[in-house]
This record gives sequence, structure tokens and C-alpha cells, in this order.
Amino acid sequence: MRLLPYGPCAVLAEFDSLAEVMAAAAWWRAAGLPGVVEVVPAARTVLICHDETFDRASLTAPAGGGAPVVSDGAAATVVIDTDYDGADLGWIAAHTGLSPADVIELHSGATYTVAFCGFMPGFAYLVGLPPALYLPRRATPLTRVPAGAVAIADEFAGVYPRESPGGWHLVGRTTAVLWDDHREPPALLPPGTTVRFRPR
Amino acid sequence: MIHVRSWGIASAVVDAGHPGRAWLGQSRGGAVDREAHALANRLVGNPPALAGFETSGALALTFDSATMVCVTGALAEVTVEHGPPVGWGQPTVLPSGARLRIGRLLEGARTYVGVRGGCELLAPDAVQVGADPGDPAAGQGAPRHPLRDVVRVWPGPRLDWFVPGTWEQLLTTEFTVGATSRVGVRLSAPPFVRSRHGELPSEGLVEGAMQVPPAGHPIIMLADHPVTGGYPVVAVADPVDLAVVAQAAAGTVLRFRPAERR
Repeated sequence: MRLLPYGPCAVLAEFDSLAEVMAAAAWWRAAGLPGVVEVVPAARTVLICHDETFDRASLTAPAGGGAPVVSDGAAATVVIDTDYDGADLGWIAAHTGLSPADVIELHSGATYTVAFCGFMPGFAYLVGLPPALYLPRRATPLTRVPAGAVAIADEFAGVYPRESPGGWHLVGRTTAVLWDDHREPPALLPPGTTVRFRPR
Repeated sequence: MIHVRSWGIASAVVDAGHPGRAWLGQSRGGAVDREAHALANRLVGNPPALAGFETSGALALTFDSATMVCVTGALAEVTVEHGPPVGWGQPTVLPSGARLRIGRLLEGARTYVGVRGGCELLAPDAVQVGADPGDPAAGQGAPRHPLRDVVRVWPGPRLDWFVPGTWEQLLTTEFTVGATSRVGVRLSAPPFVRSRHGELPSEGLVEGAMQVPPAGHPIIMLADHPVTGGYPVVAVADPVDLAVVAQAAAGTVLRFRPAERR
């Protein structure tokens, strides 16, 4: 773990792997370190935002380094009911050498964990995608991906909370509400949450 | 009720935002110049987070009941019909039927209109005024300080992705504001030069982070910044000077100085 300076109210912890990021973010969030106001995981970093009572010496890497941890969302698995009728199923099948039915079976058979959020409110980057489905994102993003689109790109799976442009490959759609301002927390899939997709 | 006759330029009903949601993908949002927003609230007797108007000009409002307002932030041409004059930083009761117009901005980038009781958008052009907060309004107006153009900065997490001398370049260069939005302020000056190339995996951003896209011209993040970004952050504005960044209008010049531990 390397700690990088980020002004008087934040510090950026950099790691070598996403697994270490997830472990550290879950650990620090659960620890409730005094003075910490935000723990923001990303691909290789965890941003710690803090107030003036925070002691940087308290920011130690979790024991066990990058060992998988029981996520703080493990108490409940969120199941996303999914219609597997995505526009890219055929393309994904062609580029993985699988049949569309195999793609659906692999995608819905896996158990995912939210590594981090970003891109837009409630957009969760899920790890746990079977490696046979790893595909680079589109060279040219779609100008319009519908809300609820269930998609994959690189080693991630995700669901679009609202309509937006997007570069991921569409496998299906869900009616689940990914973001609700009147819910606490507003995101259905905070970092650490365990997620499964169920064909409908 | 307040009727919005014209929303004008980049106007919105804003509150103090919602810190603590970056891990869910949402930045703070709310007023870009939080100090000016809070000042407007304080002067009309509101709690600091209540919603009011933010505008970059040409906002026209009609009040259908007597309402106390206060204008802060950027100095603007303010006109009132069917009511008393509204000076900068002066809490003023507008009578029913009064029309308030925030015209052209004269100095700064964002003007705030605090409304006693706060605001809630009910329809595209109808704003409900909230219940009276009970606390007294300020007994006198606030003094208006001249706009500052110096921003204190800290080294950013990726300063070492730039050639030696970049920190000194930041501190000795005048930066012209190209454009400002709720997302950030785009600056132009001789470009920063990267020493390390290749992609940076997206990482967390804070308000005030100075991101440098490939062309070398920095962007300072404001209230609606994306929660993560993939351009290296060369420096970070001290939070005490975020209002300076928030009020930096296109064409103005900003300078940077090293911040010191308080």
C-alpha cells in the first residue's frame, strides 16, 4: 500500500490489485476510523476523505493484505431479475465462441461482488464475471443505453441505473431500481454487496 | 409561491448538496459556491443547507406573497419591479406581486438568491416557499469583499506523473479561465508536460482536484464532478479557496500559491 497526498482533507491509498482495494475499503469502512467522512474505492485506489480530527497513522493496511474478506454487504445477497434479451447477446456469443444460452448460463450462474461505484450515481462495477466472458468494451460507445440495461465489459458486470451513453455490451435488462434518492442508501448496490442475476 | 418567468443561464434551485455519497457514485452536488449559498441563508434567517436559487444571469422571478430574499455571490445587475430595491447581501422583504430579476453578472460567475423558508421546485416554473424558519433574519447586511484571484494549492497525488519543475510552473503561471460549469473550471496556460505516459486507472476525485487531460490544460473540479477520473491530478485547491474557483468567470485570471498547514 502506498499513501499519496491529496490535500488537507483526503489521502489516496494505492494498491497493486483490485482484490486489495476491496479488502482495504471494506476494512476501513467497517472500522469506522475517527474523522473519516468518505471511503471511495476505485480500480487500484481507495480515496479517504476526512476532517481535521483524522490521524493518518490510523490508516493501516488490513491484516492479510489482499486476502478476500467477508464483504460488509454479505448479510444480504441482492438478486437482480433479468430478461436476457440484450442486443449484444449474439455478438458476445460470436466473440467468445459460446452459444447465447451458454452466455446466459455463465452470466446468471456467477456470484458477484460490488468492487466500486462510478460513472453515474448507483452504477456498480461487479467482479466475479466468468473469464470466458471477458471482452474489451466497445470501440465506439452506444449513444443510448436504456435504464436497467444489464451489461458486461472487461472483467466487470454492471447495470445502467438510468439511460445514458455507454460502451458496455448488453446482455439483458432489469426493472430493478438501482438509484432512489428517497432510499438510504440510495444505491441498490453499494460497494461490498453480493449480487446474483436470475433469468426471468 | 415563486413563479419563474425566465430561468436564464445555468440557473437551478440548489441546496448544500449531499456529502458522503461518493462511494455510491454521486458527488456532493448542490451549490457550487457553498459559502455564498450559506451566507444568503444566514442573512434571511434560514438553516445553512436550505435550498435557494443559483444563477449565472437572466433569472426572473415573480413573488405571489410577501417573501424575504437576499442576493449574494457574484455581483449582478439586480432589478425589482413593484417592490423595494434589493442590494447585495441585504435581506429584503418583497411584497406580493414583486418581480425580481438577476440580470447580467458584473463580477463573479454565480449569484445566489436566498429565500426565507427555503425553496422547493414544484413544477418547471413554480417554486414553493417553505415554512418560516422561526429564527430572526440578520439585523444588518453583509459586507461584500472584493473577488480574490489567488488559490492556495497542495501537491496532488500524481504530481510525479509530470516533468520536474511542474509544481514551480503551477505557482508561477497565470491561468486564464476558459469555461466554467457545475462540473469544473477549465483553465488555459502553457500546458503541463507529462513525464509518465500510459493510462491511469480511474481513481477518486475531490472538489478542488486539478485534473490534467492529455492536452495539458487543467480542469479544477467543482460540485458536480464525476466521483472518479482517469486523468492525473497534479494539485488540489485548498477547501478554503474553493469559493474563489467557484466564482472564477470565463476570461478571468487565476494564480496559485502553496497552501500551508493550519
